[in-house]
Amino acid sequence: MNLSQVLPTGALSCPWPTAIGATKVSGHRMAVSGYCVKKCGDSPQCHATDAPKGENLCGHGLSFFRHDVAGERITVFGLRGEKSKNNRNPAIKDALRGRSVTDAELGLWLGAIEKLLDQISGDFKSRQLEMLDPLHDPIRLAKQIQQVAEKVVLSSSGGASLDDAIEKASPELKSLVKAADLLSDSFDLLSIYFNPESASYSKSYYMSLHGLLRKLVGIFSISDIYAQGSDIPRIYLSGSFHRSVPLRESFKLVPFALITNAIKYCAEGPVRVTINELHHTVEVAVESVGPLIEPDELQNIFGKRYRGKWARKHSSGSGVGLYLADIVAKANGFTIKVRSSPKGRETNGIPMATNRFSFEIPLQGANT
Amino acid sequence: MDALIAWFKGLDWLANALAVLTPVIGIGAFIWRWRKKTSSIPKSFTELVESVIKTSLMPPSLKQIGQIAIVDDNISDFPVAELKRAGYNIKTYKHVSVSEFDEISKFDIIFLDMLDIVKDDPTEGGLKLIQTLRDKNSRQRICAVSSKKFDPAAIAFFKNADDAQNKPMSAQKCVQVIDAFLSEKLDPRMLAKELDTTTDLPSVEKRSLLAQLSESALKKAPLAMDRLPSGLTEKPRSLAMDLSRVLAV
Repeated sequence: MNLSQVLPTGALSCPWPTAIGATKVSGHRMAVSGYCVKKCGDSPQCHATDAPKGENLCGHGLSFFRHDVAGERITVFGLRGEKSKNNRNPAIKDALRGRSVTDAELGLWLGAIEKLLDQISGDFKSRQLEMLDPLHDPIRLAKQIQQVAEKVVLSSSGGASLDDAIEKASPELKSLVKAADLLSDSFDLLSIYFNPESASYSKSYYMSLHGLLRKLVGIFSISDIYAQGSDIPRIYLSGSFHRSVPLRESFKLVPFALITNAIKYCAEGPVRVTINELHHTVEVAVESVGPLIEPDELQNIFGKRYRGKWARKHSSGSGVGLYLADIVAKANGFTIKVRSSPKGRETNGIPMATNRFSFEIPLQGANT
Repeated sequence: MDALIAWFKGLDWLANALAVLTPVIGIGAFIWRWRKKTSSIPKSFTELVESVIKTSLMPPSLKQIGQIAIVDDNISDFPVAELKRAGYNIKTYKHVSVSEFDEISKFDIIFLDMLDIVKDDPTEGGLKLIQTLRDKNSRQRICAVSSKKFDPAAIAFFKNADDAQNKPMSAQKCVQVIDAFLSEKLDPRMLAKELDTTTDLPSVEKRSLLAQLSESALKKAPLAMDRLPSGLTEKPRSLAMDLSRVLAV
């Protein structure tokens, strides 16, 4: 809940003139001082300064009080406090008449707001918990379906490994494995959406990065026989890196989210997944041709619910895939980089670009 | 008769020599035996482990030693039969009561569910149990197994564990977790190194412990808890017990 949006509504008691964010609210006990308006106009300068918490003196001789509530900076200004009460300037004395306030009075008011916010937050969390509780069984069942699908494919296709068995399986079985895998991974992402902390729960185990990517590419490449009319682009995996690296269980969700994103926005050509050993790191990149990401959008593309201008024109979406990938990447100790290189042409009025999402994993501790 | 007496009198030197040499030889033999005994005590735990591993025909299999508990109201979520066939020592509990917390804390590894596992407290029991286990046995390895990773209220439960996995668990995943934990907790070289570098072990207790562990390795019998030197704090005590179990295999 943003205090800067709630305070102006009058629903919360605001006894003194208060500035919060870009908002200025007049108090019900005392309005904004005419002296403040005369000296600072609509934007009280005291609110813009980096003053310490508690009572401070503004450049015009009036007291202002700085506090933080729920992460928002609050300035209660144009008042007579301990620091301004002995000011001899007649204009200021006049301006401060009847405008006394103490830090203790302010403390009571701010304390009450904090209690209210805590109560609202607590209630929200309880409601959220109630709504999420039914997820417990579906998550478990999705995992079970995934395991059963893999066992069925292994036993009926007779491959030496799961990848082999999927390769040899019938289209129906392939679709089953794909759907089961995507369902299980989607639930994992959902858990992270509601509880970002969960991305860092598990310990690290040595994983074959190439094996993991090969499996993901294999799964995504399976045509869904039941989705008529929807073509998925070809997905290629290239590059050679066959060492195992220590990674958390959640790591797989990063390439999962990036490949999902690339497939969704791929306007032409294939999706290319590459894995290459660099100096002391291994780089994984997912590249495809799709809607241009404008330069000023690049730093926001991992924000929750953020979607680029051209992506919005291309297709509908919720803007959480890259947000979740970013959370998981950070929990695993790396960041995702993005580059969008314009192709210099448009498709359906949307400028096209080669979009490349990549990340690097350190190689200390990698096994041969 | 006089000749006999004279003969004995002539042997005064022999009697004196025997009177002096006998205790000297005795003391010397005692010192030699004591030095032989104390020099056979390794100077460090690492030295002890290396000597045991060199002399044994097969290195200890941690699988044989490790004790694993699964605490979950739905045991079918775990491939128990498969794990037992593979040689792991598994004990399962659908529910535990508060009086069993002590027993549970003695396992090397626990797979622990969050809900409906503590009879006295079905909703919060798992969360309280994990904290109790941490307090009782800081070296125990705990794998939290619950589908409630989405729940922010469960953060403390998962963060208190050493690993977190979804259910149902496949045999492959179980083995991966167990082998990693066994290696972390019972690897003899790692245990020896920790004992050698711990500051919680005064030198007198260290020497006594080295002697006891050597003997226990020789006899292939793990040490009993009450035989450990009394000055040991919780962590070196736990390390020593684990090392003794490993060396006794």
